[in-house]
Amino acid sequence: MSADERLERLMQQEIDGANQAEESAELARRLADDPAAQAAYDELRAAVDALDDVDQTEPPRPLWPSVSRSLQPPRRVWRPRWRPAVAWGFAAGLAAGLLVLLAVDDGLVHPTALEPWMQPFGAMGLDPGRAEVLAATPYQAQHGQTEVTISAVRDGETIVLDVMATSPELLRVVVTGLDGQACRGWSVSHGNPAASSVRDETWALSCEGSVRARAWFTTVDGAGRFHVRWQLPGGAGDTVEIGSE
Amino acid sequence: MSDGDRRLIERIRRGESELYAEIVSRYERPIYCLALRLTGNPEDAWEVSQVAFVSAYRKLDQFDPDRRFFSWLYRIAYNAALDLIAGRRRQVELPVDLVSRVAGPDAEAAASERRALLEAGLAELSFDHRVVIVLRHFLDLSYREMAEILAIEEKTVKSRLFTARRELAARLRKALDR
Repeated sequence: MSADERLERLMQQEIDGANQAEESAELARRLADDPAAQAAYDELRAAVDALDDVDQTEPPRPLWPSVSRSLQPPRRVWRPRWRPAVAWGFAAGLAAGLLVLLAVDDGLVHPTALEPWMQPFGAMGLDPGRAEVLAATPYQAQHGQTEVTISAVRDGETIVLDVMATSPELLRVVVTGLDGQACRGWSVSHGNPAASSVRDETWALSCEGSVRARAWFTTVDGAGRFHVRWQLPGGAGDTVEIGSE
Repeated sequence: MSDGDRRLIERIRRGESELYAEIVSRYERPIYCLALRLTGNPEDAWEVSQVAFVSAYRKLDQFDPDRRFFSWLYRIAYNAALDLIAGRRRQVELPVDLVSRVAGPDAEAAASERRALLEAGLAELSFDHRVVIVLRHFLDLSYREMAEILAIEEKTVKSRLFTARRELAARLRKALDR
């Protein structure tokens, strides 16, 4: 290392507070003997001090509302060991077999398991051959121009709730466990213009306009029973109990 | 990684996705600051910040909790800025709103002018030199953290930073002499 290179390194390290005592002393000696080096050091020091005085710039608006709209909940629960096509093929075969059995004994499985409205659940990481339909058919309600459709499936202890609503008024949907029992492990996704929060193990969704929201959760006893209440500002609404018998 | 970050990340990974709002709130300022200095304009910085947070969320499963979360996040933001700049294939221009803040009483105006000159000098640096200045002086990162984010050796970080400071000081001097 040349003398100039060493001097440069000592200056930079001094600015970083990284010099040992003897290195600081050496730098002071060399600067005292060399006015040009002292001027260069002062110039460097002034630039760095000016940099350190600059405040971080605030974003012009909070990022979260925009980020949250782009997020999807993390994939949960079921991790297929087979390739998806094989799994779906297996599920289709299983379903066909069950349909044959249904012709013999209608009590074996609920026929709505194969209805088209369930298909979106297939893309949510659920095992199509194992998911259990919790609402016999999607719950549907209408009040004036407000329409609410709620469907739910269960895979093991995980419940996936799908809420579709159109409402010109502020619609509030609240999901709670039965008998005041908590639901847990919430993961939710919702579209604009909805607001959603999980407090005290209760999911509350507020929306105006059209919205589709989904929630993943478990009931505290694992029994998969819960309440969904929807309500409009005037008091109109309904409470639905959903869950396994 | 701080214990606060660690606990938050664990809960988000377990499904409490709404807690990611806390991560965004905690890091939006430094991420935006980094993005603004690298891209040179507020709209691009906004886009880079958003892409960085969304991308980090989607990769949370790949995050090693033994690493520092902010280094990992800054690296994602740095790459997002690089992608945006490469995608637009244009020179980063000096952001007008960062250099036109000379106003007010004399002392304030002088400080403001100096700040504007500094911002201008910074914007004229090469991308590699600008990024080390931003990481070191605006985000207060160590050489080791900078090396991790930039995926280069620590000695390279040091040498780039020394050159960048020297160039910036020279530009400031020239501007003040004018």
